Amino acid sequence: MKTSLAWLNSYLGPSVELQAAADIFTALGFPTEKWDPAPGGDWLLDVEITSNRPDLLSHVGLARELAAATGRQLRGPNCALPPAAAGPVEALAKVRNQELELCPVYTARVIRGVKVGPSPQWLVERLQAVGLRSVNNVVDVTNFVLLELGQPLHAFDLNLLDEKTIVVRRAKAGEAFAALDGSNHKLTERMLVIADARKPVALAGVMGGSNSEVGPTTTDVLLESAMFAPLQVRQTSRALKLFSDSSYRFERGIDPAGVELASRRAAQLIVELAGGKLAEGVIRAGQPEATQARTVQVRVARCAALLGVAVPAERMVELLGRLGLAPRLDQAAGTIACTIPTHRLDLEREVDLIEEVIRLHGLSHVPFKEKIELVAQATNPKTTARRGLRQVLVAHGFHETVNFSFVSPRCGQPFLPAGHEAVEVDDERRKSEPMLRPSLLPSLLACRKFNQDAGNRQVRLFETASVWSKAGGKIVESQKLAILMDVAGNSPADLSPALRELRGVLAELVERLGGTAALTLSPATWPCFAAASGVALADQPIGWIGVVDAKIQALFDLQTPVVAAEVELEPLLALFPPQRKVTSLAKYPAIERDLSVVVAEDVPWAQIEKVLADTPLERLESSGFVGVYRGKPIEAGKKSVTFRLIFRDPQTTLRHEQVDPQVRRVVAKLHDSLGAVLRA
Amino acid sequence: MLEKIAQLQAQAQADLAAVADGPQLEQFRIKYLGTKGALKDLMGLLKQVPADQKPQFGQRANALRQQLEAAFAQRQQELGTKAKSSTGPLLDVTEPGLPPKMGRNHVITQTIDDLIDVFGRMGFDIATGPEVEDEFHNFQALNIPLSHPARDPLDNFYIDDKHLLRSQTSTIQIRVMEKTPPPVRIVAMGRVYRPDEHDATHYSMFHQVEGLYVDRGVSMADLKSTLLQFVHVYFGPDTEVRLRPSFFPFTEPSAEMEVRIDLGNGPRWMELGGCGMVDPNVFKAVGYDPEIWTGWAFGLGIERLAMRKYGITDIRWLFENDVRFLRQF
Repeated sequence: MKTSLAWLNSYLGPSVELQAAADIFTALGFPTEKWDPAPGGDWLLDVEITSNRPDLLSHVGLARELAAATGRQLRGPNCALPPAAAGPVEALAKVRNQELELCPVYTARVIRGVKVGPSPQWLVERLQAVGLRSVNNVVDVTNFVLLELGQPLHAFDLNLLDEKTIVVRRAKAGEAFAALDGSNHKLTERMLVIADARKPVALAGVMGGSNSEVGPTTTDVLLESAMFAPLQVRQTSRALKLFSDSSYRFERGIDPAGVELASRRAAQLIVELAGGKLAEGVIRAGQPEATQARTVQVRVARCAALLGVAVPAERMVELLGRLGLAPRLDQAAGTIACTIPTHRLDLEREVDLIEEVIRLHGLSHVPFKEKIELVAQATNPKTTARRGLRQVLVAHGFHETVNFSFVSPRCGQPFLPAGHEAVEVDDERRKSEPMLRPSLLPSLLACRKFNQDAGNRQVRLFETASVWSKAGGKIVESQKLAILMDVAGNSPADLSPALRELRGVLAELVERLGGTAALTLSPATWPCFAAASGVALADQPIGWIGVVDAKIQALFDLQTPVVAAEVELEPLLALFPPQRKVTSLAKYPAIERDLSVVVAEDVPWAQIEKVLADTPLERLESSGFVGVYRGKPIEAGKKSVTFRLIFRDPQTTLRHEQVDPQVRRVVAKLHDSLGAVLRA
Repeated sequence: MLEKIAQLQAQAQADLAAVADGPQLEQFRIKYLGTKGALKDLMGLLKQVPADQKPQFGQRANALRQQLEAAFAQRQQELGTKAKSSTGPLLDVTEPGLPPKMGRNHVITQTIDDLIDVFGRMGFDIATGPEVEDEFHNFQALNIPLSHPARDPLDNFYIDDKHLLRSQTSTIQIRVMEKTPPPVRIVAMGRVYRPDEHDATHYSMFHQVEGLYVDRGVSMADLKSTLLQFVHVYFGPDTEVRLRPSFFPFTEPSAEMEVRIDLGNGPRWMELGGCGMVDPNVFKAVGYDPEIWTGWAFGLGIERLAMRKYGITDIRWLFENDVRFLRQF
């Protein structure tokens, strides 16, 4: 709230210095850290008002708060009406309020025979101090009273109102409206307008229309003071992107008693500054004048229990009294009853009063205890698992990234799971990137591109985060892990070791988090990956690993190929903690046999591995891949695959004669099933 | 014959004493211990030794070998690397270390880990929740009524009429309390979203860490005491804490917590985050009786904390993930 220090001080006795005012407001919970000099030696303070205190969005409101905090005197403005001199208002204008819910009360006064002209110097200065331009004496009065009392007002040129009638109604669909600020709008039926018999003359609570504004030729003024529903004003204001001091206050809620008070104050000032005669009475369409004040009780003991410090009952009474809550202490019951003034919309419950007590008493009075209560808590397994996972990845050279959750549809679409729809936000500010990412991979690829532009090479990245898509109309949010790694070139000689390294990292993750859970990879097709494998954990598919497809690589403008994997995070974390049981270390030596078999290029390792697994061999301890050789003397279209068999007898030293027949069996089996030939 | 052993011993000891560098030591080795060295020759004499002296000769010769080998090894150690041949490649111990291929945890993760570790040691469990939330958890249960400005579409990323990206991690508090009877002691963290134009100090996404403690008889003094212990551990034992009144819909009384710390420019008061006593309406929304249970909550923004701590002047660096930036942590 832009606050003039001189204006503020005009309601305070004694007045307050600049620094003191800033300190007091800050200590009360309204940070005041910025101020600028204003004309005439005045200061303009920027007081941050929290959304629960719309009563402070005025100079009188702020003066009242400052007076309560410091014990100063509050001298509110004189709001007495001048004598009526123009006959009953009902004869001059009519008001029909058709939307009592959106406009609980609408009041109108009429002043006839005004002389619109420049405002006096004091008024111009007040408005200038808070950055407002003087328009004319009538309009200036409405702005001044808004900033003085917090009640938005509007002055219409009565003679421009068709049939001198005000109708509070919803706009018609497509109805046109030209606002005072020069903007033009098409209205919808959800919007509330102030209309005359024919056309809208104001957007209720937001802005007046140019068709009825008070100007040099105006002689008769209709003064509106009303109350509009906060949500209604907010929606209209947002929909039309039309913001004003009025809409700001109506959105937050106004003092119901202020409607009448401000109307009187403005009428008085208009008559004083622009002359004219006030019509008798006020037209009130809606509820009668301000509702009754509420009573709220606070228990002294509850206050002490909640704060952890006993504020004496007398002190509570003093502080609540300064706020104008008329506190009444019942010693026997240990309660204080307060009457809540209408401007304190925020005070409804006991706890609200407790907050007022400590706010004025000072939060520094809440003591620090020497010790805190403690109950031991087991380490959270998910947190430990996440840390273990990151540790493995970091140890293998991967950098954790944190990427924005939005991507452009162009980058996100290819990664949408089959049959799922994208989740998008409808927001102006995210027009180019409205999609909540369906995969972490587009983010990692974009991040790789960013590093490419920065000249970083051999980049390894990962991220764990949520991804979204819509399935059957329902939003699905799931946590993923994605890993991405540069590859030097596009040949199988470059890609194969890179893919194997990435697979190795996945296997290590599973081993680290889950001990013995089975991780299986099987060739699969996924449009984003060339040479893709599906990744399964204990036979449940959890994601993909592969070489990022050339089209995707081009989409992200990457110069070097990358291999990547993306898997569901939850199944990995759920493995933790591993149930480890130690195997006794072998006492007797093993026999290792490395076998090289020549097979056709299209026989994948997985098939050889399957044959090995399906051929039970006596005393076989383990078997594993060693390497692949292509070239002379292996004929073209074939490759030599080397694997290792390790045999061991736990009871005794194994002899070669015992192993030889096993090896022959497996070679024969490989030959029969895959046409494999043992290399000499 | 036994004298020959004694002679050889005396000569070898003298030669070894004269050895000054690696090459000389190597010559010594060849002369005495090599395959055609003096000791080999000595053993060759064994067959000329009379039968009754053979065992003694053998023992003495072996003892000499062992002695000379030990002396050689000791001399070699004394000469250190100089023992290497000066003609071959030298081992340059001043060549720089080869960096291990280690990645890095993101600074946001590191900051969150540091924070939740402290609260973990204070007995807080860790909780997370979904980022796309419904209006009940993001607003209603947090005492943010339909008319509250915080619900404004301008300040939130709505997906549809009922769902939005959470604007605060307090939603997790609600989800935990819905499932868990009191007492509750949790620290929650995660991403939150509020629309903004991205520049050096604004981003539409940031991370929060929040604490919640609900039990019988929990007071604002408990809140201040826990925060003080936390900042003493996290920032150092000289850190001061103060609370300034503020407003949050889900706490009452509400306060802004400030700490006085020295981040290199002398001690200064710095806003750390919001806190307060859990609003009774929040307890009602999750089915806790506010007359029996009271509690406090606090929340702080990770980016702002990390930026201050490490002197990060542009929030976008955190989300660009330039490896040159990531490697600084």
